[in-house]
Amino acid sequence: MPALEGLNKKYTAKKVAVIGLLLDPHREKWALQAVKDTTFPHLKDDGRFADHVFGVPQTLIVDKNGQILDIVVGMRSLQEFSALADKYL
Amino acid sequence: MLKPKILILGLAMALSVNLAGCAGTSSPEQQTKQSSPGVTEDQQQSTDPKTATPSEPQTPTNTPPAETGVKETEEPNASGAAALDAPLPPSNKAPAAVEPKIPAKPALPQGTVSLKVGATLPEFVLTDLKGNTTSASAVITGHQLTFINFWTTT
Repeated sequence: MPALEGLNKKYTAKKVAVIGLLLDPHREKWALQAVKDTTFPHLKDDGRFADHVFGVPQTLIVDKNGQILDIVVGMRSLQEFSALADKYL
Repeated sequence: MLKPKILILGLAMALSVNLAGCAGTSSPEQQTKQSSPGVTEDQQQSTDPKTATPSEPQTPTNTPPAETGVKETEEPNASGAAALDAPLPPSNKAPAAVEPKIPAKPALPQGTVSLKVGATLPEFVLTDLKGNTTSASAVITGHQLTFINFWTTT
């Protein structure tokens, strides 16, 4: 989460957005504690995504047309996320 | 006795006027060509805004003036057509102003979720932890890249 927060702040000027998508929204109380240090939005899954995600955390990199460019499973550092952002910008 | 004198005097004046107008040309053909100054003056006036040279009015005497006359009459028509077309763009700009309303529609397609590289995300509208409603197209189409992080609390 700190890496994505850093990515969000670092690449805002380059039109890069970060969205969190909570797959277990019934645990909202715990989720609010986990995201208190983040500024990007965390959407609550309505059941459409949970069945398609195998392995968390999982990060999709999507272009402006909605096409999935890359899928990263597992945690990554800010440097690794930055390298991915630079790769697809 | 006066009538023949007046007639001769009138002919002499007319001849002198013609000779002065001919500026040295004496053949009747040239006189007839130059006796239609409306064509040459029109040509001079129409060619002046372009690359008019002083020798141009003399050269049309060798070529049929009708061709140049047609060409020069076509150009004003073309400019006239352009002038008629000129008011049209403002009327065409009105529909162009309507076009930007089209992106107001969701840019992402409706459909099922497929999380594979190369697939396109469908449009979805979800509520965030703060209670705000966010649409995928609003975020994704407004950015060059979007990182969507799926996570759980456990």
